[in-house]
Amino acid sequence: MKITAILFLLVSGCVSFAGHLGYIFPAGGRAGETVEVLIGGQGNWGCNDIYTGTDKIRSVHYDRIVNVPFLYTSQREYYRKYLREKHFNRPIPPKPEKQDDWRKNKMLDEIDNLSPVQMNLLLRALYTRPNPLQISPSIGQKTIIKIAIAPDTKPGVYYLRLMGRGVITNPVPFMVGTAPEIQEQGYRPPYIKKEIPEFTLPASVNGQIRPGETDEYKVRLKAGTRCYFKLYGRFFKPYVGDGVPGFFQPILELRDEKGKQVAIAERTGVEIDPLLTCTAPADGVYTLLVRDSLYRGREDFVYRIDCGTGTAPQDTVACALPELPRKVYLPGMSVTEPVLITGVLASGQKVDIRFSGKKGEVKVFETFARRIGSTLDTVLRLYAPDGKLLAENDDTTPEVLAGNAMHFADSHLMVTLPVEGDYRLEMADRADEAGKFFLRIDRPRPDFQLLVTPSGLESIRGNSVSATLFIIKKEGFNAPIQLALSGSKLAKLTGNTLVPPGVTQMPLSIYEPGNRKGFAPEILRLSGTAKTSDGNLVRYATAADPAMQAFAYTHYITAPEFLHTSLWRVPGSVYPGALPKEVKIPCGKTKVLTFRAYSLPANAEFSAPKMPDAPAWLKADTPEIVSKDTKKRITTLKITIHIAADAPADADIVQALQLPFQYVTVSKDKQSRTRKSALPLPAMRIKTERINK
Amino acid sequence: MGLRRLGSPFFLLTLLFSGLSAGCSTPALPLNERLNRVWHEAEIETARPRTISDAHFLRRLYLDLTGLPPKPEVILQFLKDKDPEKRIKMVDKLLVSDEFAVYQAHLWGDELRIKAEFPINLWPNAVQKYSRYIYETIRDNVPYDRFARELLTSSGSNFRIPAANFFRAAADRSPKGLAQVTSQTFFGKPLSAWSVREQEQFIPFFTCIGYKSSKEWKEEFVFFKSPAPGSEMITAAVPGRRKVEIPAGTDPRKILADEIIASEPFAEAMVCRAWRRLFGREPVTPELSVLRREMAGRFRAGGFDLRQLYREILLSPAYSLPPGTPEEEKVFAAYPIRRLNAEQISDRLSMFLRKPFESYSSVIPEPFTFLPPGTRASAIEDGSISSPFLDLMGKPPRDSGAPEERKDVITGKQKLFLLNSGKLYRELQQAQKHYLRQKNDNLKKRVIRLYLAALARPVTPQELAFLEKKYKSTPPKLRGRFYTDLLWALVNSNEFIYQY
Repeated sequence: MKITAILFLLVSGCVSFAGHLGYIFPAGGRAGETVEVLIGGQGNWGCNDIYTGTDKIRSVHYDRIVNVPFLYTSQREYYRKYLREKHFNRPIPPKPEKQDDWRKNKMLDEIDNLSPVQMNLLLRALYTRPNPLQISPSIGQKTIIKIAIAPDTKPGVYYLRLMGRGVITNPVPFMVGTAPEIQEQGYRPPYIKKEIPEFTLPASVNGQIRPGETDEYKVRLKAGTRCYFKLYGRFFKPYVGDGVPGFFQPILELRDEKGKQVAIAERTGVEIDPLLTCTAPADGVYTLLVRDSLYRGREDFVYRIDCGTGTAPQDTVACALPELPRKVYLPGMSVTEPVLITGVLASGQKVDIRFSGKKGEVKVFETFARRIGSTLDTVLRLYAPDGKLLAENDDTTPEVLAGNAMHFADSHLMVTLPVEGDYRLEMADRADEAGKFFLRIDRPRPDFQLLVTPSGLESIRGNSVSATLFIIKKEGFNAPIQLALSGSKLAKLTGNTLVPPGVTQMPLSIYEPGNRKGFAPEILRLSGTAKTSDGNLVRYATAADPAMQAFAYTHYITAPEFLHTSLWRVPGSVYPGALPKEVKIPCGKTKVLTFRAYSLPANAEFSAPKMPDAPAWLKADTPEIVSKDTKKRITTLKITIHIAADAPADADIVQALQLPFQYVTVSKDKQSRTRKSALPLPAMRIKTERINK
Repeated sequence: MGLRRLGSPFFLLTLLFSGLSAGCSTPALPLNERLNRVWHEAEIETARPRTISDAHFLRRLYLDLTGLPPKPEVILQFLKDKDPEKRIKMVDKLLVSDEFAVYQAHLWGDELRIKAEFPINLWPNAVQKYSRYIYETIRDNVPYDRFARELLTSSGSNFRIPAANFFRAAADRSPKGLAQVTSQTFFGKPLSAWSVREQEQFIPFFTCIGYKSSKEWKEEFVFFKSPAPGSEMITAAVPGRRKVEIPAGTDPRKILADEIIASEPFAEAMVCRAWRRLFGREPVTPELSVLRREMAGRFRAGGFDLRQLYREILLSPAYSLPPGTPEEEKVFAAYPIRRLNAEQISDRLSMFLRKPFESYSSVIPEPFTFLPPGTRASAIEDGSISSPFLDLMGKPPRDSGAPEERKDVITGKQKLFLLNSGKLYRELQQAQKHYLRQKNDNLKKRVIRLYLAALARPVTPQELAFLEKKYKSTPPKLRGRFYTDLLWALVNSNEFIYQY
């Protein structure tokens, strides 16, 4: 009963839980071993397991940690002394009689049976005091999980999420390797000498950079050994919202026995993390140093270094090149579309291409350089037959920032040719550097991409839940897109499922009926189909989670799957079909929509509806209760939608209204409590029109 | 265009003529001979010894090249060494040391305005990248012309192409503002020091520098902003040089780099900079103009080798001279006494106290930066990171890059700090325990140890005799205070905070 009450409290507070997984330390393990990891996150109380997409990596022990509170002197000194005496196998001091200001904590109660990770947390709490200005709530909630990795697990990157009944977090990479695992030494109190971990190649080194820390390792190398140290740091957490600069910037340094620098590496223009390669100049024990480039640090500055001999494994650059006839670049060459020109731009040089065009013809010029791992920062210039500059493009920064890229260095031009004649296309590098490139000269090929967020959708059974869909349009694409959902036997799209032509961001409603059994997450596939002059285009949505960089930019970190999980009903639901999928409202007019809600608490009181990202010209009144059927628990509601007189005449948008309400419950001991919830309405297409007088 | 002009018959004739005329009127002399001639002409003859002691030389050399005094063991080893060329060897050793690169990079950081915050707003990412580049340039002894060319012509992200920060690290990024920082850096004088006509001809070089940002916090790209085709060619001139015409499609910075490097003030400014860093003053008086020109000529002919430039000055008789009168200092016939800079004093204190005197952090990045414990004040890359002590001692704000920003003068507040600081007193008491705790010690051993650590020289017999007398006259109960007073007096002595 108590558990049910707690769960009820949890689910009634909000529609979606949106737990957050901040970091995993260590960020990987060895196949065939069990690794104890510390996880930092926020709002993950409903989680009790992990999701990795494979049954070869599973949790065998899940322990939510209650952080050790601030301890006053007598208690802190007692436990410091307790651990010190225990370490030296000396008699344990008795507890002082006066314990008025002593605080309770599970780890203190179980001080003799703590795991290494727990002991590390306790020692830090006893000996260090965190700077209150440096505490980040997004990684404050700790969880310790023992993860068993099956011996036959394929080495590579897996994505780990925390999950529970109806809750699932964002994914964070978790790496599986075959080399021996080395871990930075945990916190050492003053009476224990800090030892520097030593290893030989190959190895996987795991560490965490805390404020101002430089981690040190000893690695034994033989003269002439070609070795690599490939660090993954920003890879695990591409952006830190409350950090400036907004991500971990690791630096790797290798020093010889005399302390002389042998090699140093940091991120490059293309790689987000450093790769240090070198040939050992002599036999010896070298020092490998890891730090943040600005000597910052916090718990989610987690890294893992793949250390080995020979050539470092290359990360594949994921960018599909268009399937077009290819030509190798020759200076001053004349081409006819479509063509994909390939070449290497020499330092300080420019690519010079000629082509003929007719008046009114639309041409597309696009470079592929940074996207294929080249350092080029291209700039495209199109010159008219009379030699005048017709168009220029440097970067193509999209409206939706997806992935790790922050500089969209490739160029794109779409130009309607003004006259018939011979045109000249010039491509240069902004920094006059050399690099490989592909240059597409083509007609426009309208296309689109879909991005859905969040990647872990938590819905309430018997209700609809909103996800956000971004539509990234290319080369003049402006057709409606019909959405479809697959992968679930029960969950389905509800409300409006058509992306109107002008829309680039819209809510997407997914309805989960109340008869689902079990809580296992399911992988959804969202597709969009559009008709273009090239035929039907079908594109599948990429799932992503928002992440902020440096308090300033919102990026979307792509996830391997679009997961869905659901929990029980909460008070109040609206069945699919209760509202029209589409309404047309003249400018300056209103529209009253009547619908029925089920299982709404009898004393529910609505407040002003919430309309995320709604335009200023769209308003909605607080819903009114029209009638109540207490026997069937059906409430009829009406809501009035207003379109301002100055609204655009042909607006076509999609909105999913949230109707917040509060109600009062009375417990058995007659204590009343006000609770809050919201009634989610399915996504609705709203069109405006101008009435001619 | 610039190269074409260099190859023109008129230019070659001019060069030949000027070389011949220079050669006819004032034949180039080695620095030693030139100095002797200057001193002779200035009628400077002194009866004082013309060279300082080995310990004095070592201390001076270490402080000027590395910012730190030599360690006691280094002093003793140097004094024991009977090699007549030990000074030359020490100069060569320090010029290739890491400490030299770190300290010189720090001084360059002042002139190149490497600072995260207002008014430069380079931000921490660019600061660390740019600083490391400067350090590596000095460590690898990159020729000065190459270094200048890289600074003047680099394009790209200021977080990835460190030299691109030269035109990024300016409070005023208008063509005039960029002309100002370029003039200050490479000619050693502000733009206003040139005639109005020269300024007007110089500024057009900077009209095609563009900036763009990305979606990375505070990243900026510096690039050549190509003017529209059909635009008129740019006509510009570096002060003291002829006008050059730059076609619309050509990056003026490349011509600018050629012209600046070819100009006389370029090499002379670096010669002056080297003298200033070693003597605290530049050879700018009329009687030193020939010396300056000759050194600049050798610097240019030697491939702009910065180490060689320093070596030439360090091995000249001027560097081994004791302090003297202002008239002698004016022509480098005496070594000018000057206060150590703020970072040197802080580092000296840390060395003498045997623990970091200060720790440094910054709240500009988040999470905050905490420089590793023991970081030298002269290894702080960011001009925005300071401390009340460094500010008190006149650490430059790095706003304009002008050498005058550094205030190496002693003030009443500074004296009061050194005399009265509670923190310093506590640290000295801690240090005293170290200096006195060794077994089989006696007053003499302790005094020798303290003098080596504090003043980087052995105690003189007179000083020792004075201290022994003082010690004996101190009641036994108060002899603990004797050492406290001695440490306190050493830290407050002129020798501790002055370079001489």
